[in-house]
Amino acid sequence: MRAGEISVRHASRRFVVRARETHTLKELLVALGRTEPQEVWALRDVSLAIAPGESVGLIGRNGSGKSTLLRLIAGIIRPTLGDVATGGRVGSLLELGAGFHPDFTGRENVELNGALQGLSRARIRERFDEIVAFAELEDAIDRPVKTYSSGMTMRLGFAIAAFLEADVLLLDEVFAVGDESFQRKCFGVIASFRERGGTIVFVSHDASAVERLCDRGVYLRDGALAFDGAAHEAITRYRRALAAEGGESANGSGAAGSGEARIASARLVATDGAPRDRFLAGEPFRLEVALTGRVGAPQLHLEIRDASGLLVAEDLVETAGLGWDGSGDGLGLHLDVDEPPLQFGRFELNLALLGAGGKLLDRLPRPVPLLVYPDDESRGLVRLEGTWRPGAKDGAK
Amino acid sequence: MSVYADLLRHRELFGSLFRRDLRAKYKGSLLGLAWTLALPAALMLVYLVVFAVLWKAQPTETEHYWLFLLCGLPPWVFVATSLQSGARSIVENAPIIRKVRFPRQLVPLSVVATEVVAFTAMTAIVVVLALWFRPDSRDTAWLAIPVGALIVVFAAGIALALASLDAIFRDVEFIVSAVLLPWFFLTPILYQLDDLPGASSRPWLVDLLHWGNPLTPAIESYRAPLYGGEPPPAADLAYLCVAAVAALALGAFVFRSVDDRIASEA
Repeated sequence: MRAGEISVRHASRRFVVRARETHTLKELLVALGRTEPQEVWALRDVSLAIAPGESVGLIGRNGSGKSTLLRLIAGIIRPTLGDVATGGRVGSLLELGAGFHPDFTGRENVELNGALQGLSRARIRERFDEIVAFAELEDAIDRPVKTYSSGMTMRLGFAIAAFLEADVLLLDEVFAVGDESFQRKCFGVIASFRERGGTIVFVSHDASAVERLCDRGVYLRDGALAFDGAAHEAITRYRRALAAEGGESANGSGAAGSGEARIASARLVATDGAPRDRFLAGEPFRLEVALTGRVGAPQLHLEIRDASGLLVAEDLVETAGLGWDGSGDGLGLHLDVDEPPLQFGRFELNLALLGAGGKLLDRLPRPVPLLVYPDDESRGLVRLEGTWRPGAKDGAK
Repeated sequence: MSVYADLLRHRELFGSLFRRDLRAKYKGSLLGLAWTLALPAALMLVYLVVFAVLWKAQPTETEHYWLFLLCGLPPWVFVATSLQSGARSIVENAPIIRKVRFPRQLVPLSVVATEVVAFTAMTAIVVVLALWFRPDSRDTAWLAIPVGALIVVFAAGIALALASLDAIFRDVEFIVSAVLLPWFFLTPILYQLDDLPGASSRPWLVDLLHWGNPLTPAIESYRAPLYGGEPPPAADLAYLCVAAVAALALGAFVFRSVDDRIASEA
């Protein structure tokens, strides 16, 4: 097996799930005979051969087996059936934090994490300054990690994984936090890692990141391989499948709606009509929504939340006034935001269709992402748009 | 035995884990590492004051009873703390175990290694005291060191087994804590098993306590060269060797059978 090569042959992974988590003997004794332990196949007969130097994006919905496959490749868990082999050293950044000890300083965590990932102490020492500089933590490296923000933790985790000199780099949702400038740096490091011939397997909900980083896309659906090929093709198939099954899945889960009317699609476009999810602060955008259904005119509910879940804006519109006829042909709507008051941050647009009495008819399975970045130095969630003027000297009293 | 061979192959990582565990134990305390020495010394002092000075416990005609007591304490304190902190170790390190591939058996073994530091300090204290007060022990006191090493091996195997089980059933760490107190009194630390007043009429009970409790031969073997000034009894020493190997095998077996579940359930 060459360094950087990954071979997954007919791998399946089963997890045993009990109705209640039995983590104590008493619970096990009580649970015995009452609840049948349920077997869940997180991954079913997946085969993949990844050559050294390839960069592969894993896409699929939550629970489709992406993280399980990544953990199999990392060697953290073993396949129930089939086999998985990875050549060379593996650097991984799975979820946030990379397993840092909160009471230890950044420095101590770098040393331990490097050792865990197979680097000798001497090598860690050599690269230590580089790691700290990349993570932009020069002032905080001797503070306990529990005092770090999630962005700082992620930067440190990424820096360790990136400077490990691994043959294979496994990244799971690493760009969920962190600002735009750090993301650009990450992309730069990943690009140079690829140039050196390193293999990357990358999991992200952010399809544009997958498209930028990966040549090859692997689309997983319910634990099985649905598509393996060019990245853009995999993303297209994934999006198409999402749109098609949006209603069906909505029926399945309790939180979703009845499905009598549906949000067929929703996207953001720029003034030139091109779909986009990144906008400069103040740059106008348009939200395009397509609806279908044969019921009485529903209400469309829009929520804009930031990355922490804070409600930034909300809107409720009667589709009756916009031409809903319930004929089943569907209805296209768009919302023009000419001067968005957003300044800087990651936002999510949540859309829901409400029927009579506020009954939930459908909810967009995944929010529409919106990234706003400032064109100047000012930060903050919203644009102030104020004007400074000279005033009376004692005006502040 | 590749479970333990990894210890050699990944000795740098083991060193990092060991240093982390050592520092973690006394993180934020003023004395820091000095606690490693202060704690066992204080513990020995307390036992001394309570049993030898205040209570004047003298179950039998024992000369220098206080020294007899001190010579039995280090192995007990070491085994008890190793099993207690070892049992929790894998669950406590779940965040790392779930996210990085590395030989996970190093986690409990490193915790046991940190307890070895205190064990070494206590052994040094009792060796010095034995040499001073029991001139007979001059030729034999060094034997406490290889015996101590066997006890470390024994504790490491059991701690690995307990830590692996604890990842599946969280009860294990509480069971360990609950068992330790009665275990202390069933182990001849405060008394000599054969000298107890009720021993002669119930020889079977003495045999049961002697051979049914793996710590009895361990402590007898450790105490003999120090307090008694004689080599460890052959039977006890042989028992300890077998127990140490059996504990290693048990630890490796339990760890292997649950290793894969540790990452998905810990």
